[in-house]
Amino acid sequence: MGHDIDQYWQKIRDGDEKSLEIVFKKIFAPLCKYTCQIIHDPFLSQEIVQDTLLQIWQNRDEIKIRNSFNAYIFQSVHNHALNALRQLKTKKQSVNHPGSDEIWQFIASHYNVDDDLAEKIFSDETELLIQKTVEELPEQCKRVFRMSRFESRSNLEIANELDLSENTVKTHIYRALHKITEILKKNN
Amino acid sequence: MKKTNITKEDINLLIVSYLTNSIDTIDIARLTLWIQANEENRRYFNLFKDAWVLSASFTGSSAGSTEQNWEVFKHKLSAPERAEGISFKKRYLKNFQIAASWLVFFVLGSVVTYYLTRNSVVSPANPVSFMVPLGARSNIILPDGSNIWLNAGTTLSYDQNFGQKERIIRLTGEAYFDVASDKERPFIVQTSGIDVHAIGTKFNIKAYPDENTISATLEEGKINVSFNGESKNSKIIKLTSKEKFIFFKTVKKSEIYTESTEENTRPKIVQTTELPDARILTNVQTELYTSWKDTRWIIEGEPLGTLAPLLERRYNLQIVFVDDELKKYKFSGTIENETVDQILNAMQLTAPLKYKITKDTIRLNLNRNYKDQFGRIMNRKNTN
Repeated sequence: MGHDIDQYWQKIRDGDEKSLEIVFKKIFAPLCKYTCQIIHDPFLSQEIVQDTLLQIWQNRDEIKIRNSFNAYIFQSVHNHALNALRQLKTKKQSVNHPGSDEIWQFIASHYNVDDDLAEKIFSDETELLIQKTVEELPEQCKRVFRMSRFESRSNLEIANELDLSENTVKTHIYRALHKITEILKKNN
Repeated sequence: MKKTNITKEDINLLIVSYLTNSIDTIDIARLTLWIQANEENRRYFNLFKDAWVLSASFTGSSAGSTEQNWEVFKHKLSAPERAEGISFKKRYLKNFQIAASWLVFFVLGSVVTYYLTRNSVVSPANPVSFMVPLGARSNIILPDGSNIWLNAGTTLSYDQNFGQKERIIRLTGEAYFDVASDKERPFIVQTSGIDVHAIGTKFNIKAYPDENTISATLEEGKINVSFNGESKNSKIIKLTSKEKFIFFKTVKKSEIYTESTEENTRPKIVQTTELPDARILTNVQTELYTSWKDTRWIIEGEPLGTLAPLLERRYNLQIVFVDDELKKYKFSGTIENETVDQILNAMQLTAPLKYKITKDTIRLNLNRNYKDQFGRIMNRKNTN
């Protein structure tokens, strides 16, 4: 999947807006999705992704890509997102993250981008596989996971609505994620 | 120790707590210790993190579609590559919130270049700089969270290692700083004549190359001012709130005299003998020096001679004094959204002034017919 995007780099470098448009339309949504994991704000996520891509476009003459274009974009968005998070923290604005420095440090030190993830996040195939896995989960587990992942509900909200304990909610989420990790491992 | 007692189940719950944003500080520490314990743990954690990221759906329903975003993005492609902050501000003024967040992210954008150079990219280590054209003002937020207002005709820059040890800013022009408190990393503003050291405070610095003075006005907190460059003074001056420091690039006796007498009307001058090329004023009304950043702009007893350059910058035009005598007339008032025309019109009522606007230039003439009359009023005022 990555090479799909990689093949446009040379043209983008030459200033071809058409290629930029193709790449933009292909990667915009997945990048927003990723950014949103970090900063928990869909609107800001779009801003960040746009800004990163704009910067890449404006600096295209100076950028040297060692690995893949795909991974480069991903790393840039990742850095932007972390910076945004830090910025939001210093500004003490409300981010849906618990507001401690420890968490920030934690994310900064553990939320690394690996090329694999970059590859997968742009891949329609991975998305389908995950969808299928979620479909096949036991009913209650599926319900909890969907509320958590797709409706962005908090564990507490889910627990209250389904009359479960918070720990049970977490266990359901763990089981669903565990299934997905198996798919990811197999797919490697 | 304790970490060996953590069961796999505990860890799984900790990971889920982290991913679902319901983890507390103590658990973060436990999880961190566990992840750092060995490579296998790290990989295990990463796998779950990836599963979490990849299973998200981003419909973007609350914002726009990819197609809409492309349309917005396309417009930005043609925007000038420098001074983005400004062009964005102008374009998005209608939707101020958007404008504000964009400005923030432009600053972030510059910071990211630093990360990129550190990772996989080789790009020249250019300093990050912001330029505000004449007739405009801008507000930026630095990577450390410090909030800065830039006045017209100002350039501000910092190196990409900003904030690693110190927070060094270079300034030409005028800026108001609301510095984020960080005792570990001093905030230093360098100008062509003085350096201002701050930790966490609010102050204004004016250092236009075409003016003979550089001044620092402290609204709140503490700053240290030191001299750099040609000035042989090695003294460090400590300012406390409501103090203003003025540095003279070239010392002309007369100028110091006029400057100090003008300022003398309200604030008290301290310490004059030890610093031949500088003045410190205490108990100043700081709004007079900082209100340019607000839409409300307060002027009090400002002679037209010093007011003219301020107007020139604010409105990006040139003011020509046909009669130098006009420079001594003083004005007070509050400017909000007035046009230059409206301001000059109001001035006409309080001073023997005639003006003519042609394109980007304003010519100021002395209205001799009214001069005597005004002279009488002025004298009456002064004797009061």
